[in-house]
Amino acid sequence: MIVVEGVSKTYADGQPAALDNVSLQIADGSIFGIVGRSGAGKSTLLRCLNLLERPTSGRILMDGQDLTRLTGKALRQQRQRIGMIFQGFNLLHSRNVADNVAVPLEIAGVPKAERVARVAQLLALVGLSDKAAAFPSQLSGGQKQRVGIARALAARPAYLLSDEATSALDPETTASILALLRDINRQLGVTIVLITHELDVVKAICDSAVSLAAGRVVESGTLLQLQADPSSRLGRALAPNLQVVRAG
Amino acid sequence: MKTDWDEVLQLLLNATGETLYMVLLAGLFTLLIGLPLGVLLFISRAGGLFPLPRLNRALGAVINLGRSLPFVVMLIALIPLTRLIVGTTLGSTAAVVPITIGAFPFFARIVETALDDVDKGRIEAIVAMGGDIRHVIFKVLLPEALPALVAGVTLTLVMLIGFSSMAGVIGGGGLGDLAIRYGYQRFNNQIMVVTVVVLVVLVQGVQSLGDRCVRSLAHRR
Repeated sequence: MIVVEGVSKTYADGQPAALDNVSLQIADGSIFGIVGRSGAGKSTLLRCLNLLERPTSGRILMDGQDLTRLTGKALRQQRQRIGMIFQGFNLLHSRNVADNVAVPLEIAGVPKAERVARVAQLLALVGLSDKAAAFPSQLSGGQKQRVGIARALAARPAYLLSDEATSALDPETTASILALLRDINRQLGVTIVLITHELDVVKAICDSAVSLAAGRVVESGTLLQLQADPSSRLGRALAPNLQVVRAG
Repeated sequence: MKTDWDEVLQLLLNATGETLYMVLLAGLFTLLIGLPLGVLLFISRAGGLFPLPRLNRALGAVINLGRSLPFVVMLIALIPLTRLIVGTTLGSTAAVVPITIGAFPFFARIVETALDDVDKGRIEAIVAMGGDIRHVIFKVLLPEALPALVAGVTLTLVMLIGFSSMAGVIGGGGLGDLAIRYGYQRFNNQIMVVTVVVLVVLVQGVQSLGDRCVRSLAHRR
């Protein structure tokens, strides 16, 4: 469970806070969405969860441990339990697909034979077993994100942070990546925290969501709570689309 | 004046040997000093991966000082240091000291720039998965920048060939020295021309070999 307690982040004195006293809870095994316009603080909040950004004040409790107190080796070990995927994929272009997926295992000091077996397993999970020897530049956007997901899961993290992971992809590829994330959540029990500016993404896979504006929490709750609350703007935006009737 | 081509050939072979000796040895030392220094310059920047702003500023100042001296001045100014390091101030080996000192600040800046061009997101990905500074340097920075680094080595080697041609000032020999002593001071145009041809071939060879390495490295990326 992740508990964010009164987290604020200010980049420079006199500037408006990127995050202003944000508190929220993310239940284990859930898919949690953070929405808001650009500049609302979504990305800063997500990056506080693995301390890529250090909060100016407040606490981030992950399974009871306050991340903001960690530095050096303890912080790096904690980060191995938190996978992350990115809008720009951030794969290493000097390595092929299999070697990209192996990076977190190398960092964790997993022996070579074990790494090879684990990488094969992960590539099968994301459906890219036949691309093990390919280089990132030879892959489509959707394939690159699958490699990113395999890499993020390599060290068996308890949490997966997704930074606009589908924003660079076309709608069909987005749907397949979201389906993969949901499968991973169900099968492996990995808690997923994602930020997105597309409400459809939240509607498709999230259990709970929070909306941010100007660094503050505007609304939060489970999807059902939000949708059932007539006064919730986020709930209305996330309402099931009744006009569309799918055949078959 | 009749030219004894056997003698010319002998002179050319000796001079080419001296040039290659100076360039390769100075190139090796330039790489050994410049590469770690370039990495240090990059990671020690304010707001960088391992911020040491004071050290960074001091290093930057020393490097700029090294780069602002004309090489031929440095060659003379460094004579006491050369004596300290190699025990003599004359000859090709002695010339390696000022050539290296003239070249490594330049190469360190090239390395710094090449590392700066590596996508910041890739660095962040390694940090996010719990990597430390060594992981960032050896798994991201150097491998991802490798084509740019090889291009930088090529550029530096060509510059070293230029530096080595001034080594004659301290008796270092080499092709530049041959061209000045025979071609210029003795008005021997044939020697001047063949020396120029050999230098051009040398530079072209280094450049096309470097380009080929860069292409094959970048090929699959």
